[in-house]
Amino acid sequence: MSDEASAVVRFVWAHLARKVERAGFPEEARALREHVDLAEVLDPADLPSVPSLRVQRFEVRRRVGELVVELNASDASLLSWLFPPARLPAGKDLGRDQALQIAERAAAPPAGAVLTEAEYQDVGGDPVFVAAWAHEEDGLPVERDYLRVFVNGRTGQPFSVSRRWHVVDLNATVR
Amino acid sequence: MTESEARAIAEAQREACEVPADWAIERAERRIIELLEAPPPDARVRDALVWILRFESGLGWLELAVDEKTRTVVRVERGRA
Repeated sequence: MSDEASAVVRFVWAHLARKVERAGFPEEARALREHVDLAEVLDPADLPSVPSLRVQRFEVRRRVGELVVELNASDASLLSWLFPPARLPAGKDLGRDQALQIAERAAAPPAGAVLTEAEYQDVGGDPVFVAAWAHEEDGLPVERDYLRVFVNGRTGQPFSVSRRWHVVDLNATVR
Repeated sequence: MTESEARAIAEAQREACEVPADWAIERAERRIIELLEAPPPDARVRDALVWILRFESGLGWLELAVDEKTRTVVRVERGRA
């Protein structure tokens, strides 16, 4: 980000903090970045044209939670991701086939994946659709490899994917 | 390697693997497992076709993995019932 762009962003943050403080929320104003994020709207369609001024538009986005992602340090492959806010509101509105389709899109099970679970389970007191796959190679189970997806059965949103999967190699390699 | 060959190897390794004399093989399964071939920093790993022979009693279980390539026991795992 250029110095000029940084100055604009700093100005917008300061402007927002002043507005929140004047609205009677000084503590929230000081911790503003913990609650919201700022993003410039690129190529906005209806930006007013003002002679001699450059006009920019920003969106204020409310933070709803943290997305936790685990990557394999050796090859950057995805190990897991988890977005807890999407767990609620919980429900069992989706049928099994529909929920499984969503889970399959999230997990992208590779060749050799064998479905082992596809049902609603009680997770932390709430119903959650859980789909899981085991790994088989030429009909033999590959120990400890798996895929697991949690889907919110009310909203249809997957909120957790975890995987341990590797390409079977009978030769010794660094992994 | 056939199942009976794997069973014979496991039986022959009973004492070395500390399998109690009165425990019997209750299950046999062919599986692919990862084996550490070289310790860190190389940490080379290979997949191995093994027979898992599970000894059980009322007290617990013990699994021997017999590698088809080397025809040896390459892993021992224990658990309580």
